[in-house]
Amino acid sequence: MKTYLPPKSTLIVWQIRVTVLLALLVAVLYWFIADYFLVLFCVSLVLAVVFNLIYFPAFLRCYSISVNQNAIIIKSGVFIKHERILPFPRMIYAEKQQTLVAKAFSVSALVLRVARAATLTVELKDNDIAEIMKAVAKWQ
Amino acid sequence: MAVKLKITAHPIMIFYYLKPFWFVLIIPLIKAIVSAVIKAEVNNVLLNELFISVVLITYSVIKWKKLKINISSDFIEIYLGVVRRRYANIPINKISTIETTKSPLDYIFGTQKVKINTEAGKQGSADFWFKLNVGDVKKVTELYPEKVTPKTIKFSAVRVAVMAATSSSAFTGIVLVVPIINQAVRLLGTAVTDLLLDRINKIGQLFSKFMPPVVNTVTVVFLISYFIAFLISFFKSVNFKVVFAGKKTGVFSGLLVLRKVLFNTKSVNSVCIEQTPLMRFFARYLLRVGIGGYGNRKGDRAVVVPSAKRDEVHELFSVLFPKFEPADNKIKPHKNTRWRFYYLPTLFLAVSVILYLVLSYSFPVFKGLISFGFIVTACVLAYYYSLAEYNTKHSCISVAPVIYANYTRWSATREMFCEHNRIGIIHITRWPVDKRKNTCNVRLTVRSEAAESITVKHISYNELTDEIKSLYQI
Repeated sequence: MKTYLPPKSTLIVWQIRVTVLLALLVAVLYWFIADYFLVLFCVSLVLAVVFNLIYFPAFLRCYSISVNQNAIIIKSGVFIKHERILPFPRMIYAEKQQTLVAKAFSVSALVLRVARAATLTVELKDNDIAEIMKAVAKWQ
Repeated sequence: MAVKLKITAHPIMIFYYLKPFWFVLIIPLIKAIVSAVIKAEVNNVLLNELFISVVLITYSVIKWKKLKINISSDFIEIYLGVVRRRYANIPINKISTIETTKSPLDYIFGTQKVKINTEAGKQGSADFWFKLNVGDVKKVTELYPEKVTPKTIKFSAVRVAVMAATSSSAFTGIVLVVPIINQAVRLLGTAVTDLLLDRINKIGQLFSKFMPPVVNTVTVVFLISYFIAFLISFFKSVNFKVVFAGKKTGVFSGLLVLRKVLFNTKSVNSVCIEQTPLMRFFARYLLRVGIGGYGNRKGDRAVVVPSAKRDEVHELFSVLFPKFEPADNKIKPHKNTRWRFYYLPTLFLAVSVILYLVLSYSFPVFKGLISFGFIVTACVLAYYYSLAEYNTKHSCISVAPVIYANYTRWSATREMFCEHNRIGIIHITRWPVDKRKNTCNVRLTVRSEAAESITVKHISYNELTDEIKSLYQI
């Protein structure tokens, strides 16, 4: 059984996303309620710190994808632990998804499609994604 | 995994990517440009629209350029997206259907729309779709030659018309709904006119003057709509033929828009022999299959035999789907409990009679309309009784490696065949009366996108649970 962990660049990708999103939110809200800009800025700053420096590092530390001979096991969760088992026979196909930011850091997310459902993973190294996709393909 | 064929989409895809913006951006832009040329002045709005249009067109062109399809002997690889790049690697044996459509526009551009469906996609939409050159579509099909000589079954236009008429709501609408609406509104008009003539003479006269033309217009509108619906259904299904080539089955149909659905026989979840109310009059049946992942608005079903007599449809079924041959151990409703099929129609009849008497006594002016309503209800209930009779005679279930059930669903009668490992949920319901008589109602849900279900009522509880226990080793 081989276990894949998210690399450090995944954390940077998510930190960039959250920062950009919050900055955009502040900019849009400033347009409408300029009087409360300072409050908005402070709230966004707190949110950015909580997500970027506390939650995401903890989330990614708890995240792992294991591939054995018969299934893919995804473990996640900071407060509530989740374990998803996807047996290969039930799997239809795997799909790689990569945004522009993720591409810059050579990481990409994986969508594992099973009958009537799909599971999206966090970004892993491109090589790791290729290995998992190969494992899925090999089983078919 | 050696790539056998690399395909790029046809440039017409750019048009489809821009489709959501046609009416809000492109057409107003063309209008603004024409207006600017006539007035010989350029304003800021035009410049903004022009800028957004250029951005969108550039984005669509890049999106089209980035769409690539690689086909090997075992896999189809698809690359798509600009901002969010996607790469899917689909094993050929996991593809449930490949649907190709050729519209009049496709004839002009030499293209075909190809939809790829797997069981993982959303219900009602394809996993992937693209417009390809006709030549490329041909190359794709040539990559997978069938060693078996294809067997083609064609169906005449008359049979297709029977299917279009009896399996869609169009003909039912023309034959039943329109005359009923017409008569009901006419009677309502007469009653209201009488009522108003007694009270306010002027309004009553106005009503009696305008009501008949309104009724006629409504009738004509309904008639035309249903007729158009019938024509659409007919032209979609005309030229119908089914081709069987080993593990693959193809359903071809259409006149103006040619449609072809190729599916793997392994992907078939269930096979149904169905008879709609109108088909009962014609003594015809249709054969359809439920395919995992194949999706249109009506669920994952494809008609294989549009219209045939009972013996013919059963003969075709055993030739086309030999592995769906059912076992003989059928559980039927017990003789002592069969009367319970008549319980609900009798209850509805009693309620209708009481309502008719109460309403006609309370509103004598509307007696004509109420009597007409009662006659229509009585006809519907008579059909309901005929379905109850069908259930007493034919309803049964066989819990075996091939699950077989004969039952009625809404107004149609149905025989369904399904492999036992395709069943997702078995739901047994017991009312207090069932406990006394040791019977139950069972509903089996097929594990598919449409989650089609089989319901058989008033059968022996012990017999059923024994069969389920031995089949599923529960």
